[in-house]
Amino acid sequence: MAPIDIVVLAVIGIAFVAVCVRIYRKGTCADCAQGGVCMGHCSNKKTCAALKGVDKIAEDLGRGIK
Amino acid sequence: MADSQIHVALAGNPNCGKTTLFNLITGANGYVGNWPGVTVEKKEAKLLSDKNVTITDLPGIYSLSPYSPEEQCSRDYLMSGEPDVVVQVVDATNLERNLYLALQVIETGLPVVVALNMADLVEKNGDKIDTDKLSKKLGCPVMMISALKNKGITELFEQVKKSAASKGQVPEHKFDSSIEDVLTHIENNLPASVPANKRRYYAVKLFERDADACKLINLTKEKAARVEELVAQCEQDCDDDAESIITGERYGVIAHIIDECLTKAPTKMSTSEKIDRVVTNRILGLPIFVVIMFCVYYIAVSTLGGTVTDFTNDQLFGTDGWYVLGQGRDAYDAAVEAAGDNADSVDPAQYGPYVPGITTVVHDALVAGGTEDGGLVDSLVCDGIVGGLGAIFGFVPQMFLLFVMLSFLEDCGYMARVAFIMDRVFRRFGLSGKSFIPMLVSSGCGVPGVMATKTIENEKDRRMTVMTTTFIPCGAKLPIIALLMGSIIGDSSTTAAWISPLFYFLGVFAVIASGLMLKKTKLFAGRPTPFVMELPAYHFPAIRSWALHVWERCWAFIKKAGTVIFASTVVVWFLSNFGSYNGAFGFLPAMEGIPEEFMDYSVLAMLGNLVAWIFAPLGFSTWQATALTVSGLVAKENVVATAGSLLSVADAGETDPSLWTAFAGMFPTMGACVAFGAFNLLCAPCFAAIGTIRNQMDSGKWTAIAIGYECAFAWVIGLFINQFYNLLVLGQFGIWTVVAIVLLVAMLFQIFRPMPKHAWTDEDETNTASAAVSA
Repeated sequence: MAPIDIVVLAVIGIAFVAVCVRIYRKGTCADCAQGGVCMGHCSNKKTCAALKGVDKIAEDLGRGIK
Repeated sequence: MADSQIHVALAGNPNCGKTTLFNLITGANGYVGNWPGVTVEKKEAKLLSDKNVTITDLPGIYSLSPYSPEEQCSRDYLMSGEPDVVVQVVDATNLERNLYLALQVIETGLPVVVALNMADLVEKNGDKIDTDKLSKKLGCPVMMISALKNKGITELFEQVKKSAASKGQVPEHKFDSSIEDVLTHIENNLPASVPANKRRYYAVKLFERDADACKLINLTKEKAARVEELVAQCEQDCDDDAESIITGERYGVIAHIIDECLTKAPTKMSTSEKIDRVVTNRILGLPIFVVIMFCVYYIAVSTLGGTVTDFTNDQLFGTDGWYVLGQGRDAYDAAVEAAGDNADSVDPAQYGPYVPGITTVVHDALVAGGTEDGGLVDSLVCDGIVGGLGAIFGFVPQMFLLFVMLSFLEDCGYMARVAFIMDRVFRRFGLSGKSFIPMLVSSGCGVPGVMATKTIENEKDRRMTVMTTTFIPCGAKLPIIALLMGSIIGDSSTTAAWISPLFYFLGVFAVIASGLMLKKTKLFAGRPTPFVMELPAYHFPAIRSWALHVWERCWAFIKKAGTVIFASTVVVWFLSNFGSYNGAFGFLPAMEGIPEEFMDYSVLAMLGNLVAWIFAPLGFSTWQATALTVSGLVAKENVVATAGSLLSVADAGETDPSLWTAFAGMFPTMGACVAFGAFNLLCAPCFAAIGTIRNQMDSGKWTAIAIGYECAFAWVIGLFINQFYNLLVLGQFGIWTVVAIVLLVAMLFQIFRPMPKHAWTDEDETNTASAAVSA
């Protein structure tokens, strides 16, 4: 494996982790601003309806699982 | 006051221009729609010219009576004590209706500045408003402004700052003396703790028997009984209920104010009214809507948008590359033809100013840097990431055109008419035009579309709208439509141009058919909600607002491509390039003796094959098609991005199939290809929209019903398309053809059978009726 391969893989790996963290914090949707629901810059689990719903789905599915 | 924080609330009727004003003064890009109900929750931002001023944009409401979630939200905020001053935005072209809320807000005792918006239209209509007299009558400052044309805004906020320093006012307007007497008596019964400027508001609310106000004031038993006695006596005297008495009085005050302050120009039919005579015509309205939407999708996908997308897909992101201004293209094509089998040896750079495609540039740079040609890193970057993202970015031009046209239709006021036209259609199955508003929003994104259902008071109507609103193709589904159209029609773009609009109308059909079927079940029976909406005057959209609208939607698409889709393409690449062959697990292309179709041994193929059987009756039981469908649950654009990665389009040479043909090659027949499209457009939306559905339904059971129904409906429609194509075009008949016929008959029966009596009766009415019968 050439040095450039390691660099490219590292960059992709970092970008991938950054995206995963963003999805965890802000969800997969970037379009809420269209509905006047939020300004698109500050969505988080407290204000984003989509994320609140996703959390509830996770709770529903996880109920009874120990 | 200058150094302290000022909280300003923007209140007003729906569609009076609050959000346009909010965007203008805060620099925010909040969604502005030219129909009521766009803002469903309050939004906050700082004033651009003074960061000490916080502006809160409240949902548009007609009154402060807490009958709908928006009214409750606005009233709670106004009475929370947070706003220092309220800017009451009034549509000056419709003073009579807008002043009703203005009077109520003034009654709250908060400092109010009335902003008469759309001053330019008042002038254009030849009407005259005496603002000084109006200010005197209302007991608060009145300013003429035009948020669209940015006129009078500075003066408005100078006045707002002055008013914020005041402690509020006691309303000037008075009702009939008999009502005033009762209100004075009620005021005298209020506890001393209620401030002077709020006593009138609470007196009126107690008169109206407002439950929230009664709870808040908490009168002693004796005083409450005294108030009730006064109100009951007044009701008896006026022969009306308390709330209607106050409503009548307010309209009386408004009529008096209008008489004195407004001079109307002689009435003549406006341009909007002339257009509406045709556009909202009982017979022509619907066909005009169909033709307009056909043209929108045809232009966006098939003509100009298609040409630019072809360039982006094949030449910019593909391996073709391009010649600047086309110079040298003909000579190069002739050289390639002359070279025959040796076409690969022809160097395109020799024939003109040639720019290689992004994939070629990236591939050459990696190989020059020491990466193995066709190795793991080369494959991950070129096939996985550039191939996947390139497939998505290729559709940005089509999406841009679509949004330019849709935003124009929304901003100019036509889409509000569509809600009015659709009200007639929807009413047949118990929904109202109010349910069409979320569907309009859904043409951008399903998440705000589902959220917009908040404005529907009737729970059953709201549930049914939530279940059906994501059938309307959102922006993310446009690439799927474009990909399908390209695959189905190939090069003959003129012969099957109807394909892309057809997929839009498939969504509309799904909404209507579902409505007709579901309304006849007990789960959704009930009287339709009355739908009243103001039709805004047609106007050419403000360029800033129009551009922002398009930018917001395109930027959201690009942002998603750079985040969620990027992560998905990396995952899909790993799953499709790693697997086990001959008992060994690893990077498949590097394995010795592996066949050319190495992906058939990948982890993704294994996972896809586990569920592929579900889609066998729909004609696409390959693991690739299944993987595309499942990846679409993360974000619908993923269907195309995954196709780009799996089909290795980025790696395709000039003689290899393009994205269109490679995609079409995944399906045995055209029927299967269309069935795939129909299923993916109608089935469960992306995770974000599913989360929003869960939140709006506030019930796990109802979320499961909604998602289950959407998937089942999509599967059945896909089954119809594939099986009837096989039967009618290919002459094939099998057990699934029988199933399709049975399901079609059942569906037609449910759609066309007469509406049962219970379908138009609310549950409480049924209970009352049964109670009466048993008595």
